[in-house]
Amino acid sequence: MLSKDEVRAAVASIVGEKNLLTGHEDLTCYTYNAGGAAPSPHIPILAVFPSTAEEVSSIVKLCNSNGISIVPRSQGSGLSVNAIPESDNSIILSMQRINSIVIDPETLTAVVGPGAITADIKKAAAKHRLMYPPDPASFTFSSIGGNVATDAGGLQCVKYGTTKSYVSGLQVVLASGEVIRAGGKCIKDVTGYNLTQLFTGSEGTLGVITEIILKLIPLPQAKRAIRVAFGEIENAAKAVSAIMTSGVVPSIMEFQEQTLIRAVEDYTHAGLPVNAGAMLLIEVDGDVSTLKPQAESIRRVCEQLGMIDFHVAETSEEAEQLWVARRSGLPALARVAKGRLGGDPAVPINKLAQAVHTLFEVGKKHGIKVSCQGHAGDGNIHPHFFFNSDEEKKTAAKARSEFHYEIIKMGGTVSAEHGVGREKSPYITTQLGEAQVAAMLAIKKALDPNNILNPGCIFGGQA
Amino acid sequence: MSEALEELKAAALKCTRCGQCLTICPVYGKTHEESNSSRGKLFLLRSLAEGTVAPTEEMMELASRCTLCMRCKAICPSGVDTTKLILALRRYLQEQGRLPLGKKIAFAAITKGRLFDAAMSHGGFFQSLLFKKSEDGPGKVARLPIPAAGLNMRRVIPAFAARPLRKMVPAVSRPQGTPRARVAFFPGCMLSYVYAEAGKALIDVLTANGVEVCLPEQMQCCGTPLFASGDFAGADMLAAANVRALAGGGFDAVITGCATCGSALAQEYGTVLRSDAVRGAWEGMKNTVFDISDFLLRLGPKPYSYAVPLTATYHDACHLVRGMGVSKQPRSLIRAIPGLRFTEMGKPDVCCGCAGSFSATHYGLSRQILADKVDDIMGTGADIVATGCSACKMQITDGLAQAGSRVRVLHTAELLARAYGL
Repeated sequence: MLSKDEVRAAVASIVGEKNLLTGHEDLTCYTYNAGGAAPSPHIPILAVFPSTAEEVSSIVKLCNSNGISIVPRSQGSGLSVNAIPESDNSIILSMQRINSIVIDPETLTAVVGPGAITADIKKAAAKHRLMYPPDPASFTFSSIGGNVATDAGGLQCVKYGTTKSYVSGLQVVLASGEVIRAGGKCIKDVTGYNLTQLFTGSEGTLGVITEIILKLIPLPQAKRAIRVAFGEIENAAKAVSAIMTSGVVPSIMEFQEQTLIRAVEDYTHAGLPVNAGAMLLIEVDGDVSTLKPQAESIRRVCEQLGMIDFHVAETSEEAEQLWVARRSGLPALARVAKGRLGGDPAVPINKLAQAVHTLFEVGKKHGIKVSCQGHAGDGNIHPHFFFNSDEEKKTAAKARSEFHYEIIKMGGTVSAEHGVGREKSPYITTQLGEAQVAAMLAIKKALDPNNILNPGCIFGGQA
Repeated sequence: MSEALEELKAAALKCTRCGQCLTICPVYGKTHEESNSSRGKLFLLRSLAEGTVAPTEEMMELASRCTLCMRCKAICPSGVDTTKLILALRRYLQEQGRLPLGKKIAFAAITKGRLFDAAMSHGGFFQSLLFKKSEDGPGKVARLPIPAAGLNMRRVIPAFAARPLRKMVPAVSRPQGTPRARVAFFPGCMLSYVYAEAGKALIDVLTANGVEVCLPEQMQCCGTPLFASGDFAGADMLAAANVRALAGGGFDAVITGCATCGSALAQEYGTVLRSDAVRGAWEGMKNTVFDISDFLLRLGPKPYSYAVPLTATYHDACHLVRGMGVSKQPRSLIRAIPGLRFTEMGKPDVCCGCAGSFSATHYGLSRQILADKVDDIMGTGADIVATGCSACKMQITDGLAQAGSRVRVLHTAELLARAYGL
């Protein structure tokens, strides 16, 4: 086994002294990701910032032949403890400096480095009147590499699909150090297994993504924001599937329940319907002439379900006002309690009302405050379990766990868009079944025989 | 663990590490190193309290990698006062003996008011020994490379004023007729000793608007360079002297022309002042501290007398836009100038990378941050960039000069003075 100094010297000889960090203080900052989970007690040997796939390949080879774990990472904005060291014998492989963005309007694609910030890709595409639709809440600061590795979702997935729908090709460094290209710029491509989609969402456990080819679509001409309030939370949830089957596909359909509406109103004084049991924030997009008819269809559906308020933003300023309510969710929730546990489960859209009802039942049973919001149009809810003490935090964790098992019973999934990470690995066997987990582990073993790639992620101690 | 550290840890634990503060951080945006972000610094603060990291020189170095631009504080969804905590971290490390020697010597000098005044008043003489005039004239370049201070041979730093502000204007500048208001002007170091012409322009604009302007004796450096480096004890001495000089004079307002001095006087002194009596006096004064542009708009500016047929853009100093909440006011005054075409740059409120001594101790990083600002300014096609902060003026002048740009950097008051024909 190489000593720490030997590993540092070997990596420095690949990337140069300037492109790695070895100080204890610096490395301490790579023991956590986003979210309040306890940091890893393990300090990695180094954090390295390669600039090319060749450098990545050399680093991976070095680690593979010496049994050193690799934690691929960029912004550390993952919400399921996706990228932290599992042992002291680990290195942080930061992809942040492989961050080029090249838009190819002729093929409606973008070729990007994994370290590129998703918002920058959207901006670059928009200059060509093209759109990269996935918009996880973190898109202004998360990297596309992380988005692909977790198949990140977001608000507009209800109409446009998640990150995976836009990944057309990948350059990947395998655990052996070999560099492969999966997929490409072809719209149709069925030559061999679909490795592009296998690596997408694999959370850095199967290979290191060093380049991504993204599909782009024409930018919609216009959009319009709508806010609908319902007295009863169940009616709002029912409205979601009713709208989705009415012939209109909103580009966004967000859901907020009363606790959250009130917290946001306290925080923003935006004039939200505080007596509503729940509200939907909807956006329709497309050709200008289609917006009004789409809004009218939605109104008709909601009227039948007893809506108590329907507001269409007439100007972009008004629309901005409506979205403030969505964006203020986190700061508003920070005021509800000292801390909260979140999550990202999803259910088939016709089970949304049941899922929300179950959440409140679980909260009541454990005597803790709960709330939820969500990307309702795709059945994805973000539950919040609040706590004010360490003791209550344990109860909140218990309640969340129970809720996750209820979600699985409903035919749902414990993770819709954040990835399993380390946080949700205890649930995968229940959700997927032993045979399926074994099949996944066989794939893992085939591609990463020495288990050096982000060990502990997805499978916990099973890999 | 010290009680202070325990308290800081509790505040730092409010951070949910979401990452919103990452890409908007000017320093992290260049280095991509987690420890350079606010999230990283708060985690280090927590780790310090938990004893998993020690108050090392490396810690001080990491803590110093922040321009105090406050964008992270403004964006934080959990409402964490990141800037305050980073200052507290520096304070703690300073108390553990982690202040670099150069700063110790400099701060000892700044707190000796009279000696400091004498040195700065003759700064022009001493400066000429080490620096020569830059070729196209906006300031000085070093005769010899002084790498430790970031004073390489290319860097353009401003010339010290030939005469300090106090030698240029009387202790009380009176307007014609009955004064509409009587104010104290707090010029701070830069408008006193370096950009004294801008300090004079500010006084002239005020008197042209019927305001009596006093320059009280005994005013000192505002103290920001000290507390920004963690030296709160030194800053307290300066803050107390300033409050004593300004609070008792019965002034209608205290006017600042430097964003950093202004936010120190209006806000930061709340953390700096130790004596209850002085703090009491400050409490009575803090709401009368106004940036010149804010004050003029509240007063109702007199009409301009001259056209300024130029294109101007405006750079928001961090301590004005986020520190004092002043951004519309200067724009409103500038836009009203006859003949002037106003154009916004892409990101006017992003830090220019100066941050006082940060520009010297982290010159390379500071230059990288500045490069974006210079590109943004040059992209507007403006002839003039106005700003309300002398440190920004110094930094941007350096960047534009090195980029070979002819765009001139003016204090907002200097631009207004032109429109008043002063």
